[in-house]
Amino acid sequence: MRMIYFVLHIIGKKALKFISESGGAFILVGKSLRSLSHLYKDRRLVIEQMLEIGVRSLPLVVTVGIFTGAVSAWQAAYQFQGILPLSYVGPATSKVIFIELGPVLTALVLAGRVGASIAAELGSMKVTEQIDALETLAIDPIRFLAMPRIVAATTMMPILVIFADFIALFGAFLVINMLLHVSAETFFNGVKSYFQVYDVISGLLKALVFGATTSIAGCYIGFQTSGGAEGVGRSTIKAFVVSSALILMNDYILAMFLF
Amino acid sequence: MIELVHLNKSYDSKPVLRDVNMTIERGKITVIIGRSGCGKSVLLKLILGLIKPDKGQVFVEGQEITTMGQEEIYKIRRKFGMLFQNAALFDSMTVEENMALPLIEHSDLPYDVIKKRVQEKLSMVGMPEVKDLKPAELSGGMRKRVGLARALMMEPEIVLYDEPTTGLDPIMADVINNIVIGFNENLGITSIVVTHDMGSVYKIADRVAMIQRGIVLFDGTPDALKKTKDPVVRQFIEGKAEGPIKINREIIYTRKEQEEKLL
Repeated sequence: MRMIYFVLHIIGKKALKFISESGGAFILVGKSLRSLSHLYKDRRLVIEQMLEIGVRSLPLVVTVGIFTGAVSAWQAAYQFQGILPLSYVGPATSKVIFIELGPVLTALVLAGRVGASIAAELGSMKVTEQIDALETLAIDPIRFLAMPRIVAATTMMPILVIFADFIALFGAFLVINMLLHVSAETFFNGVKSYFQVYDVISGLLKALVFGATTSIAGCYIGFQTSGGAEGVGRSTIKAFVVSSALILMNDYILAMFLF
Repeated sequence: MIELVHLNKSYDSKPVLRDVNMTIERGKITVIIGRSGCGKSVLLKLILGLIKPDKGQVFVEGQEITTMGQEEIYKIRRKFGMLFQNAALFDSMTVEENMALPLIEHSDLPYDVIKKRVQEKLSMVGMPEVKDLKPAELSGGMRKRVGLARALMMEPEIVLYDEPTTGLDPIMADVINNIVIGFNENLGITSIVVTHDMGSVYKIADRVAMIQRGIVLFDGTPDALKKTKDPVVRQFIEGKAEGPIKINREIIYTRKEQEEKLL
């Protein structure tokens, strides 16, 4: 009996924590949306974050993109052996890049680069009382810190995914042309004939949602940080794990609606 | 004037402040003393409206801040300046950017005028040449002085100091004490100082309040504090390990409490 009570107590406690944290994240989203009225005044903060989240992530996105394209082309060719001619590898790879791999892999990599770094930055500001300092200066931390990061991540993620898509396509082309000896003409004709704008748009829509969730998770977890340097470390890991999980969950939900 | 009426605050059902009543007089330096973790910093956060009390009220210039919304409380906070224990300067900004921020946010002053004010306030704390440095390039004492200068940027009526001399060498601690007195005498600022540095208390205080286990145990002048016969207060001001405040028992009590929580 005591054991059942103990298990129920733990489940109840976890459920309450989940509800309270979800509520907290929704409040953060609501307050950030309300802060959008200051977007023009705070444009400098938003542009700084766009540089940090977008431009400075480009080397990582290029690296991830080129290898994603290359490996998916190579493995598609392996799976097509004896079933389909190699001329279909290009179109098949481009489809999977635009619909799934481009947005999801870019977002997962940026969950570490962006989500975790937002949580670490805001977390260390929290434990060193810099967030309290903003409050005492009558500056809303959500408007000053969270809103620019959420806006920047939400707008930059689709742009980064466009880069990742085309770099990945280039990676696939290199493998297909140089290692599988399919001509450039066959590759590009194949890609062109199976290309659908909707595939790219659906990928970008996913990227938009992934950018928003990654930054919201990073900001919320950062603001909740306590317990000094150890707490900052915990928040950083938590932001990465939560962002990654949310990306995969949202990917599934969006796939249900989009395809 | 600030009035604290029947203030109660608990964390995880552990009472931190219990029925605290206090009046902070305008233009005076009120020092709040007490052991680490006794609720001194919580009291400052309640005065600023950073946290809400479980029970009780805080009045600033006759306005109750405990029931105010965010916009109203931000208006009240412009009357305040705050020096944090570790200065809480924004790491990513230079000293000038740190200090200019409140004016950029809350005024339409041109940046040239803001820069002049930054220079003026830095000179007041004896640091006219650090405006281009980042907080990481400053020593502990320098950071506190920049924190003080930043607290003055909005020309506040009330300045709160959270352990302003902690971690400083005795000479730098005295420099900070003199700055606090200077702000009070020259600018007429009402000061609330939280500290356990008894040297500072006797030098700067017009009035001292001691908090022990969430209760105001002593409230009076520094002279009255020196003469008090209350054994708990005496043990604290004389800094003795032996006395009615049982250090070891408190540690055991806390561990026991933690064990109870785990169960």
